[in-house]
Amino acid sequence: MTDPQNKPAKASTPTVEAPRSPQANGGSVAIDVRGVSKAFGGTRALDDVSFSIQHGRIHALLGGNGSGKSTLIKVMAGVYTADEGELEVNGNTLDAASTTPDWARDVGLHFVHQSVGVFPDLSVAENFALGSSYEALRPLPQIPWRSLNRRAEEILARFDVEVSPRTRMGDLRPAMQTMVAICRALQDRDDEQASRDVLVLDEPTVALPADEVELLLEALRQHAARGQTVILVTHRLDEVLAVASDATFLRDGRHLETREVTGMRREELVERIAGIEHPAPEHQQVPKNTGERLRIEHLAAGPLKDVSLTANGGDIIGISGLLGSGRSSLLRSLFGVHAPRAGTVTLDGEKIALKSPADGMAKGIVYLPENREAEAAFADQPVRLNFSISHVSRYWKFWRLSRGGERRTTKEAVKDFSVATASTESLFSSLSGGNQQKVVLARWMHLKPRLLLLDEPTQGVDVGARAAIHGLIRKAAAEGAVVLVVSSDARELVELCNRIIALNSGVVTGELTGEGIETRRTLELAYGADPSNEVKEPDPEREIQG
Amino acid sequence: MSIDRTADVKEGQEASNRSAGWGWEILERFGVVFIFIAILIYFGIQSSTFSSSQNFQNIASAQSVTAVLALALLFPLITGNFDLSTGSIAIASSILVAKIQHDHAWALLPACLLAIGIALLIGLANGLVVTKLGVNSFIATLASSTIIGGFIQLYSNNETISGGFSTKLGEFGINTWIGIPLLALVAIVFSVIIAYVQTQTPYGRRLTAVGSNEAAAELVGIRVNRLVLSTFLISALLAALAGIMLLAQTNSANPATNGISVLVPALAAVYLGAAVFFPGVFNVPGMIVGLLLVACLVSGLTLTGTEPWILPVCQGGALIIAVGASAQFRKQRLRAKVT
Repeated sequence: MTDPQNKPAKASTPTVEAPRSPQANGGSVAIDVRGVSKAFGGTRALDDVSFSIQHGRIHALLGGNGSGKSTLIKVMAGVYTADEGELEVNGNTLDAASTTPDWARDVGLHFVHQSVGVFPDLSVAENFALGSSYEALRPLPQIPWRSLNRRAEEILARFDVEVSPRTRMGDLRPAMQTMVAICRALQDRDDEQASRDVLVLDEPTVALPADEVELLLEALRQHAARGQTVILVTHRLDEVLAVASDATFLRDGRHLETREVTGMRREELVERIAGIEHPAPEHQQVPKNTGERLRIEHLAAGPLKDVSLTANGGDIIGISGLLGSGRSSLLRSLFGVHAPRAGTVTLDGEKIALKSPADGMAKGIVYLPENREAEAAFADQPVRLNFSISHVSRYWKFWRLSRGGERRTTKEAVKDFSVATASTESLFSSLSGGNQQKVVLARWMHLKPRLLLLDEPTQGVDVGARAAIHGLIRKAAAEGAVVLVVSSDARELVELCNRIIALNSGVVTGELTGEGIETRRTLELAYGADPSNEVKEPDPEREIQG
Repeated sequence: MSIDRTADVKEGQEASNRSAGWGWEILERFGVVFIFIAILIYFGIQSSTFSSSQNFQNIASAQSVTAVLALALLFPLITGNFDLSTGSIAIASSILVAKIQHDHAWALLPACLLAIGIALLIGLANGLVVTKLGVNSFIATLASSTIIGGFIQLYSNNETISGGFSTKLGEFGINTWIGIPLLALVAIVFSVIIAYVQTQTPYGRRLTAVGSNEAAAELVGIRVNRLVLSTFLISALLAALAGIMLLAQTNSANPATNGISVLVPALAAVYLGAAVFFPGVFNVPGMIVGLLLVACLVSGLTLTGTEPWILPVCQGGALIIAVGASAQFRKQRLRAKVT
């Protein structure tokens, strides 16, 4: 990606409003947050938060779900206005109660969100044009294609992104799309301005497969080297350790600490985020042996070519593999989402052939999809419906739905799964990501399944909720269920599973059991190649996520 | 609507509406009711005919047909689908019931059963085109509505049939029970049934789930295609019944009536309904208030000497306002308060 001969030329024309050179920015304050508070009803989402962020650093904003980091970002972006406090960005001070999106853009705050908001059917250049104030883009008489493409080319060259402006956005790999989205956010700023600007990335890697993450992190390092200030919101601590120079920790809406990250250990980060001593992972549990329950023979579906495995009750089996390895297809075909091309599945001695998810559920199989928002959430409905929808017929008594019974059961589930929600009638969308995930898990666990298929069960979930979810999964296994877990977080598989199976291009390429389970070997298996080439950082403390 | 259900929604409102005051909440939930009452009072003062029981009977029996058409729209709309063919199905069945008795001396009951059977076939076709071919329901049913319109012309030769069929229907159309038109009673019975199915059965719950997130609904074991198909069948059935009621009410079958123009007040009622009682949710009681609001407005304007062109303007305007308001409520519901 980096080509030393291709570095962008320094902006030769001095801008009117830039008194300082980019170099002089180092060590100066980019953002000063002073006493910002914001309440929603009775909940104080932000409580007198003050800290500052230096120019030219990658600054991680860390905290659990509900810590207030998303609220803070939204106040900066002008999506919300705060109740009290002040923001100072590049010397421009504003009452935090009156932030607007226009103000944020004018002072040099640029936001790139989780779903990067690109138009997959348009070209890179068109995507640039749609996010720009570039004057050539007039509705009439015609789009000046040539200058549009030339301009896009210049911007891409400036940020060392090697993509043709004519490429269809959807044809780019995911990390590249995010990089283009970052360029788009910065496109209207010249080098001088851009070096003073602040780029805010809200969980940029959450939708990226593991092998793409490193690509994006490398791009962030380059932005930082250029003098760019980056605020990184993420749950993936290994990324923080890999790229961030400073971090601010928020907890329960309060500012906990702002400090340098360099030299910190993962456990220290976890401790600050979770507020508790991180318990040693209780991995490699010996499952209660209840005999063989699941047998898969020569299964083929989608990219899955030939997979055979057997599992006992109590087994938590990790499926490790890169995107396209067939890991999600394995789960989906076991649940009945799409019928397998070949092979047999036997559950408790019964051969099962499923035509739909409804068939799968009837056999005691449940499936937690990877993309919660798109495939599991009923966002505009109450928590109660989101929980009970998997078994709503059970409340059908005396010719009506027993809402009392439904509410009682939901309340119990909310308590058992320690879901933080104001009531069972709160809208699902008002819950934080971790709590949403707990509700979806509760929806399935309530059915007492024989086989649990979990795709990225803790994606976008904070450390505390992650531990809770792991506990719930272990509990289900201890009760005799078979659990298959797909995760691109190798550490998660190591913590959770008693067996790990690696998939590569649709076939099983390896298996780890007992003492053999460790993060590094899981990654090696998933990459399916010489580990020294694929795993970038062999130091176990700084291992990248698989 | 049981008390249980009301308590439910109240609790939800409180939870999701912490920052808004109770005054605003009342306005949000009952605003349309207040407007309705204001219209009643205003025209009651303006015109003595308006507040006569005869006028209310007229409104009730005329609106019964629209009410059943609106009920027909409800289930597809909950799952996020339009059924624009209901208006044409209603007109087709009113013509078929009249003409087959007139031309071939069929009895009333078999004529009605035939109309219902044909309507169900149309509903099945709509449902299959939407679920199997994946055609957008708006387009699919607009097309089928147009096709039905063509067959209506073919079958009727554009002639109005105003006699030669059983007089029982016409009698049913004008008779009352303790002052309530029988047609209105029929509409009330169907409203209760539909409201019951929507709020008190697992089927209704699944409709809501599909409307909220189709992909997620499929993955919690709901057979989405089958469910959506069933809503088109129910919708066609109710539309056919509305057509028979139309024949009873007007005592004639007019092929010049446009299916879409019959549909507009029904559509407006359903959307206005989503702005009352349970804001952002399609619901039957709200739908009835919405229906009566538009009907009283139109009747009041007509009786106070307003020109007839005002009628479609009112109905179209009501539709836009209703859809706009329910979209706003939906947005408010979704405005998440997360950190």
